[in-house]
Amino acid sequence: MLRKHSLAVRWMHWINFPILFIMIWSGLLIYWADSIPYVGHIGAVYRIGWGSHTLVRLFPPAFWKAIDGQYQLAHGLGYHFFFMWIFAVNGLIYVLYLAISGEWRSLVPNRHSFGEAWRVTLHDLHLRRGLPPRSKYNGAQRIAYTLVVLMGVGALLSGFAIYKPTSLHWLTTAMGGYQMARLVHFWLALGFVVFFIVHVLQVAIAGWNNFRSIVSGYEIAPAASSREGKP
Amino acid sequence: MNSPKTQAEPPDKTQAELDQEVRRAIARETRRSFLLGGAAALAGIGAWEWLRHAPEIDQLKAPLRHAENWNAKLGSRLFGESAHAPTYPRSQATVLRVNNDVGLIDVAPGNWRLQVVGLDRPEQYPQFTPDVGLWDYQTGNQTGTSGISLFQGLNVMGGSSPANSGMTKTPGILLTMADILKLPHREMIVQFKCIEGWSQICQWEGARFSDFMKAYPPKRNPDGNLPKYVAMETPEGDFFSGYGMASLVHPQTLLCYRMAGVPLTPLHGAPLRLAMPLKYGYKQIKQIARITYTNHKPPDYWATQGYDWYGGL
Repeated sequence: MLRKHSLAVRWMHWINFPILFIMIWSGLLIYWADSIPYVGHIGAVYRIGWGSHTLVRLFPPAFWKAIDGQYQLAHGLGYHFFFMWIFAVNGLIYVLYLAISGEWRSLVPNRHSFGEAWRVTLHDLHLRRGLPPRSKYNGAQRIAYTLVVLMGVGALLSGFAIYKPTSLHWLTTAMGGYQMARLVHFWLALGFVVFFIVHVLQVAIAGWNNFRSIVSGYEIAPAASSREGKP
Repeated sequence: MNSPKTQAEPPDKTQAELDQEVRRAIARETRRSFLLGGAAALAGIGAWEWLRHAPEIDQLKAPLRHAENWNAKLGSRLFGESAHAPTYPRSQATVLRVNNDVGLIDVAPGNWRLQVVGLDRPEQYPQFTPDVGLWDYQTGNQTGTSGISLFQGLNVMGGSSPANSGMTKTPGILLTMADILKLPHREMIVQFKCIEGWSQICQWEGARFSDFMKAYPPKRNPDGNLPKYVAMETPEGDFFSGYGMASLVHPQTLLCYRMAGVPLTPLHGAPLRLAMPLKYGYKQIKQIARITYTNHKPPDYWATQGYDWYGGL
C-alpha cells in the first residue's frame, strides 16, 4: 500500500476540476458576443486559417444553441470574474505547495523524461510492448502535468492582460496586444479541454487502483522484493 | 513520498495474511475518502445550486454583483485610475463601428445644450437657469417637444441623485457647443475596447474633462473634497451612466466633438460624447445632455442590464 498523492494535492485537484469547467463555460458565454457573423462580428479569435483564408470556423450556431450560450455575455462576465479568484488562488497555492514540499521533483520533467515520454506514447498507441520503469509519474505524465501548470500561468497572465489592458498595458503589450491576449487566452482554454479529454481517457485505461489514489491517496503496489522471500 | 506504509509485520504472518491486511487497510482508507469526497462534492453542488438560484441585483446574481463591485474597488485601489493607455500613430486610426443607439435622438442643430448640475454657486455664470430640466430638446425634423421626459430614465431606474427628482427644480447652467470649444483642444489616438471583445484604434478630439471641471467647478463637500461621482445622461434620459470622479479627471478622459478627423456623426453621439481608454465602450456615453456632480452612486444603463457598473480597464 503506497502513499501516492498528499491530502493537499487531492483537494486542490478536485477543487480545480469543477472550477476549470465553470471558467471555460463562462468564458464561452463571453466569447459568443464576438462571434456573431450576422451582426458583423467576425469572431477572429476562433478561426483556424491564415491571412484571409479560413480553414475551420469553430462553433457553428447549433453549438451555441446547444449550450444555451447566446446573449449571456453579462452573466458570463459575472461568473468568470467570481470564479477566477478561486481558480487563481487554488492554482497559486498548488504551485507554492509543489515548490515548498519538494513534490515538484516528481512532477517536473528531467533529462530522461522526453525519451521516456516517447516510449510511453508508443506503448499507449499499441506500437510498443512494455512500459519503461517509472517513479511516481512517467515521462509523458511529467511533461503533460508540468505543461498544464504552465498553461494555467499563461491563462492567468493573458487573463489579466484582457481584464486590465489600460492599467496593465505593459502586460497586454508583452502578450502581443489586446486581441493577441484574447487569442492566447482562448486557445489555452481549448488546450485545457484537450488535456482533460486525454487525462480522463488515460485514467480510464489505467484503472481503479490509479483512480482510487487521487481520492484516498493510496494505491496498491506489488510487495517490495525484500518481502518476497518470507515464508 | 512513495515510501511503503510501515505496518506491524510480525514474522509469523503468511503472505496471504499480509495481503489480506493491506486489502482491508486500503478498503478502509478508500471508504473514508470516498465518503468525505462525496460529502464535499454534495456541498459543492449545493453551493452551485444556491448561486444559480440567488436573487438578482440589476439582472445579475447577487453574489456575482457583489464580486464585481468588490473587484472594482480592488482594481481602482490597486491601480488608482492613473495608468495612461498606450497611444498610436494617426495612420493606425480607424472609423469606429456603430454598435448601438440607445438614448440617441435627432437634436436640431443649435438646439443642443449641455446641462451642468451640482456646480459651485451656479448663479455666478451667465448661462445660469433656475431649472435646467425645463430645457426643451427639439428634434431636427419636427416641431414637437421632447423635453418633458428628460428625467424619465433616472426615475424609472430608481435614480438616487437628489438632483433628479422630478418635483424639485434643478438649478444649473446650460452650455452651448461654443462654450465647450473654448476649452483647450486635445487629441488622442487610443484603442477603444468593447465589452463584446472587439477593439479599434480611434482618433478623438475634444476637451479634457478635467479642463471642463476647472472651468465649471463642482460644489465641494464640507470637508473640501470633490463630489465622489459624476452622472451623465442623454437628452431624454434613456441612456445614463455614472463615473467615479477619479476616472473622469484622468488626462485621457475627453469630452469629444470630433472623431477620425471629422465632427462626430449623430450615431457616434453628436455633438458631444465621452471617450476614455480607462473604461469599456459601454461607459463612453454618447450625446451627453446633462452632467451632474453628485455624492450618490449614479445609476448606469448597462449596469441595470447585468453588466458591471465600474467597467474599468
